[in-house]
Amino acid sequence: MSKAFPICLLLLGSLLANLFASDSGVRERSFVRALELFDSAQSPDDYRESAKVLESILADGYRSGAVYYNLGNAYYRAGEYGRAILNYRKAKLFRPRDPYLAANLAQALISAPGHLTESPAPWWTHVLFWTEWLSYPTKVKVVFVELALVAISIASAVLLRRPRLNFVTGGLLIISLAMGIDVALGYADFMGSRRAVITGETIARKGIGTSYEAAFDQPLRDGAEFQVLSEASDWTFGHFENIGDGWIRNEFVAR
Amino acid sequence: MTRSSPSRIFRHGIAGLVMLAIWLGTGLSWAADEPEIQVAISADEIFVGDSVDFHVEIRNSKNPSAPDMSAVKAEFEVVANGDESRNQSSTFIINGRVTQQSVFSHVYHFRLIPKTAGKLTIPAVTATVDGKMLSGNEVALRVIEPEKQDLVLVEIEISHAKVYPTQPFTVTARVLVRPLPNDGDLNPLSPLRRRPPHLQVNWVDPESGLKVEEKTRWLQPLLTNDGIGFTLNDVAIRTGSFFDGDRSAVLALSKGREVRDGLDDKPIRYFVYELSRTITPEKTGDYSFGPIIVKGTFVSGVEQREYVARRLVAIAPATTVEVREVPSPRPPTFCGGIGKYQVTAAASPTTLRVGDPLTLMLDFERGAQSGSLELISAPDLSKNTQLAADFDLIDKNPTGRIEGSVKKFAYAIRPKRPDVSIPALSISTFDPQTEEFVETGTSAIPLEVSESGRVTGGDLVGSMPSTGSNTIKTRAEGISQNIIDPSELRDERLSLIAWSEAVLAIWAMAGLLMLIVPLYGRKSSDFVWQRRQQARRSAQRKLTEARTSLAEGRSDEALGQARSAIIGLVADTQNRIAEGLTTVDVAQILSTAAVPVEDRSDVLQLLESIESAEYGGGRSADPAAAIETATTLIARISPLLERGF
Repeated sequence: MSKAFPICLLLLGSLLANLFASDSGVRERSFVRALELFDSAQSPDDYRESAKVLESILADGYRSGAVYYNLGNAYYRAGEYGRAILNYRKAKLFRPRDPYLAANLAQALISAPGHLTESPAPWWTHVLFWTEWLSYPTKVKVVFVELALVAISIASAVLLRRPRLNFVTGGLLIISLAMGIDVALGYADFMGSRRAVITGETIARKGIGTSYEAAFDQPLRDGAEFQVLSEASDWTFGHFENIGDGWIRNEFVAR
Repeated sequence: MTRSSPSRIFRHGIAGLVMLAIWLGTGLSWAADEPEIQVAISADEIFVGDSVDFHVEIRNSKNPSAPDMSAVKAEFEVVANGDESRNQSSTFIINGRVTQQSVFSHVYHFRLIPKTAGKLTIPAVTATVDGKMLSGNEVALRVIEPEKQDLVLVEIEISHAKVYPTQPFTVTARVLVRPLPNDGDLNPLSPLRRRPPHLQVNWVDPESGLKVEEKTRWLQPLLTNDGIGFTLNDVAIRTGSFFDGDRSAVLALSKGREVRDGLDDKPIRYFVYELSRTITPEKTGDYSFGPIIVKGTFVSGVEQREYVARRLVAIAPATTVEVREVPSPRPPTFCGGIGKYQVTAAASPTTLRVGDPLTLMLDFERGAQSGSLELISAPDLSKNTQLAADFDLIDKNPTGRIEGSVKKFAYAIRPKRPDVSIPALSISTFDPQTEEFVETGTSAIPLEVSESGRVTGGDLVGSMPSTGSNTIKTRAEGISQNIIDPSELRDERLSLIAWSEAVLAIWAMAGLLMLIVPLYGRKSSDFVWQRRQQARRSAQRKLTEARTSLAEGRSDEALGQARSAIIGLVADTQNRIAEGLTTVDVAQILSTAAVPVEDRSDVLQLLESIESAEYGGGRSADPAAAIETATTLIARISPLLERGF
């Protein structure tokens, strides 16, 4: 057993090291290239070119708050407020306390012609008061680390015969549960399956197809955010805050 | 039952009486010793400012009370250094006779600091023991006071008598030593290298509220190995020898020469030694430095080509540094700086559009003897009316960062209008020399701010509620600049599977530990289980010994060891005593353990043949064959026996 323990620790360390391993040389070059394009941009198309380079960094599922933030800036400069808002929202999951990001998102929301009035923050954000303090990946890691600590605490209580450690275990479990709920509530946003945004002027329909009548009395414009309710082949059914539900063609939807 | 003879009874009776007498004698011996007080001091001659260890021992009392030191306090400062019991109880058994001896002793330790100099007497201390007042002896102590002399002079120098928090100042202990009478250029401490003079200062470990450089880093450059210098307080270095322990560190403090008049008004070119330390006060208040004490033996003359030594002590009186609060009221532009700072401003980019962010850098460069950069807070730029009118301040209170002697603040601001520039900024600091607030200005920074394309707020789309729904306003502000540092580019992907695996692995390890450790603990205390586990190994070991015996020509012994291997295996697995097992018992056990009949029969046959050979009857056994048979049989029957039944 005494020999197995260091081996297990080694395997665990290697596993954790793999979690944090990254190969960012190519991405760094693309990142710098996008910055150069942005700085020398003279027209919306130039900014779109910068955005395209940044999108290429994210192509293989890579995620970075800095890339989303710069992408938001590039789309903002290109006049695509919907995509800018979407990327700022994504960046916020990774950089929740960045005041510049908050300022830019507020600016994009104000600038977007199709922006809709937002509902007040849901009640649970007041209960889970730390939700704006930590990035989503940090929250997830904290939950996992706490669950690991729970296991260690239980094992310590049993093996060392220290019943008082049960209080520690209880405390850790409560924190894990609260953090876990927070993580679960934010999972859909993190995966990009809940929130979407309109990227151009379009008419929401009451059914799948242009033959259906308009869902609202006015068209939706760039920057209108909605919650995805269901999806069909070329259409997305969404809930628009304070307005109602409608089907939109996917070519006008960014997620 | 045997009948005791009268002489034997007599002898036992005498022995009992002797033992009783010894016991009573021992008991009476300590009971007879009267309680008493013994005192001792660590030295009978000390210098002014030194302390002496004082020990009070109360003997022959089981529960003594602490001695009364009130009489000592008249002439000494008394610091209690703890106490210890030295009670001893010994029991001797010699030729069956028990002797017990008890010694009672309790020692109280004190440190005494004389309040006056001269020939002093430490008065007799008293203590109440078992209701009786006991008194110890008086002890004489000579305290050598500094005398008027011009051989060694000591003084304290302080760079600033009044400072403000975080404004550093330097305190220096200066020792001037008269040159040697026969060689005016030779360091007068050279002849003292075997016993360097001692310097005592109170800023090696300064009181709270004063920040200093780490002690080792301060003193390391001053250390010398040639012994020419001063020892300092209790600063010691390790010798590297297990037996020698630590020794006092010798510091080379030489700082040149200085001419002073001696007692006879003739100029003397003294050797100067200095120990300086820069201190940064963190709290206001009065801080005392000194007195400095230099003591040791110095060269005072030459007689018959040999140095004449003179033992002396020299003292410099304490001096005080006042740490003051920055006066109020303070100007609104006061940034917290105390001393002289150079403030510069820079902006980037300088060509931009309305609403674009720009970074305004304010750098505070600290001058010599100025206060800490930590004190400087970000100036409130919104107080500058022109700047506030022309720019939006995104971050009014940025966190500064310190790079060497410069503190940098980065403000993010946005121009509100075209053709605006950053005006000259006024910042005030406090000058401790003049005790006034001093205005420092930065130069204006010209910018090229062009008009920005405005975003027009369209009508709200969708069927919004009629009230309070249209909140879109037209604004001209731009966005904050990009993140340009590639180090911010971090892979923030979440591998939920990997994390889950890691946590599950930890849970599994914890579960396994919870299962294995108690089981292992239980088994490790289970003698029967352990014996069964080691049975086969023990049997094989015996067979190995048998082969060795056979190789050495001891056939009978080899046969016995082969038999012992099989019997031992059976006994160990069944937790029986091997020596008590007969061949019949073994047959019965093998039968119970469901050992196949042919194996059973082979075992019995082997045992019987060995026994026959041992006792000289029946057929003789071939030892080599017997050992091999035993090896085969042990391998076959062990698994069945180890199962337990």
